[in-house]
Amino acid sequence: MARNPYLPYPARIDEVIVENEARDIKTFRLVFEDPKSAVEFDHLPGQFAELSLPGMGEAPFGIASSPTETDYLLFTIKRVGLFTTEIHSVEAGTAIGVRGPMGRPFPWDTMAGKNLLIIGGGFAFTTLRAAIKYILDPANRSRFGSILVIYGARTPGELMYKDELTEWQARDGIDVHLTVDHADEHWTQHEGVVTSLLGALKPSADNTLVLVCGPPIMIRFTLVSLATLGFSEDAIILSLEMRMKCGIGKCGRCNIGSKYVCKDGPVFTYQELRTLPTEY
Amino acid sequence: MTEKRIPHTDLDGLLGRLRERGAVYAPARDDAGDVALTQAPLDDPMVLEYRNFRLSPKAFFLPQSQTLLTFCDGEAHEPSLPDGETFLVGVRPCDAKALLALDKVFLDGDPPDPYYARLRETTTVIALACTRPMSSCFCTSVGGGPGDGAGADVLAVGLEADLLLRAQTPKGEELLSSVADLLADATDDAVKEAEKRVGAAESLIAPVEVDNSAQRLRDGYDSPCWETASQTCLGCGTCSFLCPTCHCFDITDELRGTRGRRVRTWDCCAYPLFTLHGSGHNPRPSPKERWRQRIMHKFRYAVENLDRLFCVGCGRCIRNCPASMDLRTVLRELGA
Repeated sequence: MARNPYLPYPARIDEVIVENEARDIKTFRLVFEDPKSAVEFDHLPGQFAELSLPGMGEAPFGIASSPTETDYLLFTIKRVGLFTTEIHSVEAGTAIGVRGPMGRPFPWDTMAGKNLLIIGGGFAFTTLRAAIKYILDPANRSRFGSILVIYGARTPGELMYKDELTEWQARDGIDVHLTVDHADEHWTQHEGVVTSLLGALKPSADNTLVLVCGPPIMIRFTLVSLATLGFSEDAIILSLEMRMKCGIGKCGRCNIGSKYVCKDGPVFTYQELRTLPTEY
Repeated sequence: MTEKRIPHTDLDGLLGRLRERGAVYAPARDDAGDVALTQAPLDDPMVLEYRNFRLSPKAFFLPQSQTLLTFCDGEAHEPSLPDGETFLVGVRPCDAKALLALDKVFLDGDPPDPYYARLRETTTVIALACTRPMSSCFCTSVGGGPGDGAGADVLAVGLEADLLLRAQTPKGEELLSSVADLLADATDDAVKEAEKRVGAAESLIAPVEVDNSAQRLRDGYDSPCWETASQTCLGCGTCSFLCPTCHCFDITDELRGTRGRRVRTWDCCAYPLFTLHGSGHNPRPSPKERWRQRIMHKFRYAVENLDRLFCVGCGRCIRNCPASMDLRTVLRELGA
C-alpha cells in the first residue's frame, strides 16, 4: 500500500548553524531516524518539504542540501512567524517530522548542456545553494557549461553559507560574485544591489539559463536587467513562495490560477508565470 | 442498469435492511421543522418531500474536523480508518454530483487522499430526485438536473405510491440485488411518471448563463465587477462551509503534554488569513481578490485543471449569505 502522504518521516535535528549576524537565519541539519527513509526521500534541488514539530504544526521550506549530500538534509530557515520562531528555539537532538520531497525541482534536464547564471538575494539563496552543491558534484559538473553565481545581501554579515562561498570563490569550475547593499570597512568585493553587479558583469545570454531566487523587489529589477541583456522569458527560472499546507495539491491554499504552487511549482519559468494571475 | 420500484409502505423495511449492514442516515424533520440527514430511529417514517438540507453531505466524506495523525510521546501514528458501512439515503442530485468534483481532487489527484478514499469506499449514496427546487437553485445550468443520478450509487424518484430505484454504479447494483426480495420490477407507467415529475421540477429552475464560463472569466479577470460585488462580503465563510464542492482545508496540531493529534479542518479562501504569509505579505489582500478567487476557482480554474465545474447549482451560498451576495450576479455581468 502506498505510504500515507500525511505521515512525516521521523528525523532528528543533529546540528543547528547560525547563518547571519542578525541571528534570525539558522540552518538545521536533519538526519532520518530510519536509514530507509533517506532512500525513499529522493529529491532534486528546487524541491521543498514540510517540516513539523509535534504540537506546532507544519510549514513548508525549500531543501537547502543537494541529493549528493547523502547523509543529511539541510533547511535554512528565517525566523518570521509562529513555526519558524519555535524551530529557532530548539536545540540539536530535537525530533522533527519531514514530509516530502514535494513540488517540481529546477528543470535539470533542460539545464543540461547549458551555461548557468544563478542569481540570489538574501535569505532566498537556500535552494540555490542546493543547486550549486549539486552542479559542483564531480559526477554532475561536466553536464553543465560555465557557472556564474551572483549573490547579494544587505550587509556582509547577512550573507549565508560564508565558508562555502569562500571555498567556491577559491576553486575552479564556478565563478562566484558577491555584493552587499551596504559594505563595512572589511568588505573588499562589490557594493550595491544585485542588479548593479549583474549590469557590471554583463553575462551573455547565449545558451544560458538563469535561476533567480530573491525578494520580490530584487526579482522585479533583475527581470528588467535580464531582458536588457537579451535573456528570453523561457530562459529565466524562478521559484515562488506561497503559503502551503498539504503539499499535495488538495488543501487549495497555494492555488494561483489553474496552478498549485506545491505541485505545479514552486519552480516556474518566467514565461509560465506570465500566464498566471499575479496573486503571489 | 437495474431499474426497480418499492412501495412507500415498504421503505421502513428497506431502511431496516440497510441498518443491519451499517449506519443509515435518512431525511428526518428536526424540532425546527428543517429536514436533515439523520440517523433516525427505525420506526420513523422517511420524509420524501423536502427542500434540500441546509448542510451538504460533504462532511460524510470530508469531515469538518478530521484526525490525520495522532501523537504519542513524540511519535506520529496513523489513525485507524473506519471500516463500517454508511448509507446516505435521500441525498439530492446536486449534492451527489458534487462528490464527482471532490473525487477529482481527493481520489484522482496524485497521491490520492487515504482518508477521503476510505469514507467514499465505505459509503453508499442513494439520491432522491428533487421535487422542491428553490429560487436559488440553478443545477440545470451547470450540467445537472433534479433527476440526475451522477455521483449517486442509486437514484430514487418519488412517485405517487412507489419509489423508482435506478442503480448508477456497481455498488448500487449490488445494493439493489441484496434487497431484491423487497423490490418489484419498474413498470413503463412508473418510468413515465418519474419522467413527468422530474420534468415538472426542471421547469421550476431558472437558468443562469454559465456556458463557456472559463473563457469569459479569463476575459473578465480585471473587470470592475469584482470590486463592486465583493463590497458587502463579511469574510464569514458561510458560502464555503455550506458549499458541497468547497474543499480547502487547514492542518493544525493539538497537543496536551505529549499526546495530541494533527487535525484537518475546513478552511475558506474568503478568510484574510488563508493566504497570509509569515512575512506579512498577503497575495490576496482584500475581499475583491478573495471573492474573485472563489468564483474563478469554481468556474474557470477547476475547468482548466480538472476539466470540471466546481459548482452544482445547489444555491446554498446564495440562500445563506448574510450579506445577500449572489454569484449569479457576477456570472450574468461577465456574460453580458
